[in-house]
Amino acid sequence: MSFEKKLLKRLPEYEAEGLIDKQSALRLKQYLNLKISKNTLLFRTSLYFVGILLVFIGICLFVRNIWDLLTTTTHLVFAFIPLMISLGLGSFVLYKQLGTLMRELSGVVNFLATFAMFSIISTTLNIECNLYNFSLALICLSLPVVFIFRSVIISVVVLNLLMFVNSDYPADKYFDIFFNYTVLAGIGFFLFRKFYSEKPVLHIIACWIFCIIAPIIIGNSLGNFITHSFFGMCNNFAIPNELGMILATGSLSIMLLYSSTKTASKHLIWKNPFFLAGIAGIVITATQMNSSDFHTSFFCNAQELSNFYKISILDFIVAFTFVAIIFGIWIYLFVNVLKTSKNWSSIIGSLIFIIYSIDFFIGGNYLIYVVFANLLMFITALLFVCNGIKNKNYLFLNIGIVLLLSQAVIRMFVSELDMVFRASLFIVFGILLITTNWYVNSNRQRQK
Amino acid sequence: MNLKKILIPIFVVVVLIQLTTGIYLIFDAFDIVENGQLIKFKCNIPSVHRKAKQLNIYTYNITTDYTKDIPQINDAIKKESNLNRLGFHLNVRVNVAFTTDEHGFAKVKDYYVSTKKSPTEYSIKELWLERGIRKNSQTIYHKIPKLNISAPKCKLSFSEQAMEKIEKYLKTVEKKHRGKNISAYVVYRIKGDKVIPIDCVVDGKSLTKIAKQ
Repeated sequence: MSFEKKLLKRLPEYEAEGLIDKQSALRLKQYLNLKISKNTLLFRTSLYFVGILLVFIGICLFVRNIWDLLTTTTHLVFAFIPLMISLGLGSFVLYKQLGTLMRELSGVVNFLATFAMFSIISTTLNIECNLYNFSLALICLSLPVVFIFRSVIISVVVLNLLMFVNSDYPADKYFDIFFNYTVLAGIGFFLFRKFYSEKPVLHIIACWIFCIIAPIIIGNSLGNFITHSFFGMCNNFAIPNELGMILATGSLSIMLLYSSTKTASKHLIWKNPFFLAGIAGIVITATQMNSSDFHTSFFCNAQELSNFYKISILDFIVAFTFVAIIFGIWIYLFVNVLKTSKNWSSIIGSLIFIIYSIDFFIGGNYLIYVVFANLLMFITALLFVCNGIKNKNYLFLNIGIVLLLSQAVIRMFVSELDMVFRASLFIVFGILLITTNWYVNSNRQRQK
Repeated sequence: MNLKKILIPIFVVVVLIQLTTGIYLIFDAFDIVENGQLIKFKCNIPSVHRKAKQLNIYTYNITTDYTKDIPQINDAIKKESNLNRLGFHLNVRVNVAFTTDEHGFAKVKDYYVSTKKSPTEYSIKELWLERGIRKNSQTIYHKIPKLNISAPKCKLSFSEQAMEKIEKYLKTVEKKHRGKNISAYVVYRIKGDKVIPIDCVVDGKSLTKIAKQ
């Protein structure tokens, strides 16, 4: 029996003993009845849902059993049935204006139906699988669904597809910038809007995922755009390309610094998209640098690159105007933050842009790239931990520890460290997490 | 009109677009099968993937002499010859026009490097360039470097019963020709960048015909 039902049963007893008056008892009774009916409705809805799901799975299994006996035309007709089901479900959900769960479900059903349609047609007609075209088609066809059903799940799926398209296949000249930025801007707008209005945990997580994926896509597409636009010879620029990464680190450092300025800092830190994007991006860039896949493109300096691609110095000057603009904004914000708020985490975190740029122009040195970038991230994380302990703020403390942990996790995959050493690193971080939380907790209790 | 009410017609339009994409895919496939260029590519004996009800076929690359003067490829050859490498990958998009020999097997008619896919030619994103081969610990350099152009991938789907028949046939062929080379090729229809495998012939017998028996 639920708590509400138990309380409803005891209500006359409490009223008789004079613990609550008649009016309060009546109000409480109404409230509890409403709550119980809501719970029953939810239970009934979930039963319907399970029932429909079972019937649907049964039909699928039946069709799967007789699949080989059907003709090619029937196979092709069956390819469209999931989409028709999705149309029915989606229209019903929109007409009845049902809640988040049903909206997310309709979005997922539509995505899976489109996926099933493509795969059934291509398998039946032996069409060669082209993952690039397939992903592009899915992105274009599923993006409107994100907005129609306000679906966070589909937005994240689309972002992942976009990352796949960008990482595996360098896109064509101008298509790159328009496609990537349209999709990113659309999803970014949607997620931040949702993030500010509804604020449940799921949306915050979705926002984080956006912040992590967006810098990678920006890094690739912006770099590709600049190099393709200005250097006609560079048809074959390796990803993530050097210019793109400099601009990405620059933009992210600016975001991080901006989050400490007067205008942005009025939002709480966990509601500040600039802060989230900056931190997440810097985590990515700092840790990506010593990933073995990117060695070839990361450790070329400007001179080597200009020799390799046979580009004139003039072209370089034009291209690096963008870097100069970002550098100007960075300096302005850096001085501003240094003068006013002195947010050391942002200041130190933002230095990654400078380290990355200096290394690009003077040497392409492994030591500077890896050790210093990771050291910067480590110091930023440590500052968060110290700040959290000092101000008894769990959020700061845990951001710092998450940064440290993520650095450790990535080291686990990319470094050539001994297994025992890696294991001890994890133990150290685990103990750090437990002890600092225990310390803050006991400190709070003592003060109380 | 309420925004929430507009969402229903918008959703219907989106689903209609999704349906149209699927229908377009079907018509496009039929168009390639009817009007595409018929080309054969030599391949190995197909491997049977019973669970996926698919035949995985590895088609052999097409080799052609590098006789053109393409700056990217020239530079790469120069760089690699300094490093003393005999063969290497080159990440460039190459559009290839195929022709057929007297038996209908694929031959390279023309190729050129481009940033974009061609609507009329087969397109690949990576080349294998060979400057020479190593034979009995001796290095033999080609007079003209050779370009290796990867053939289209091939997977053929069949029903479970058909797969059983095909598997049986392939086993008998393998027994018959133990240790010897078995002639096998895939028949494709190619239209621009789009490729559809129609049949696979192993030891003179069509697998689709065996499947239909």
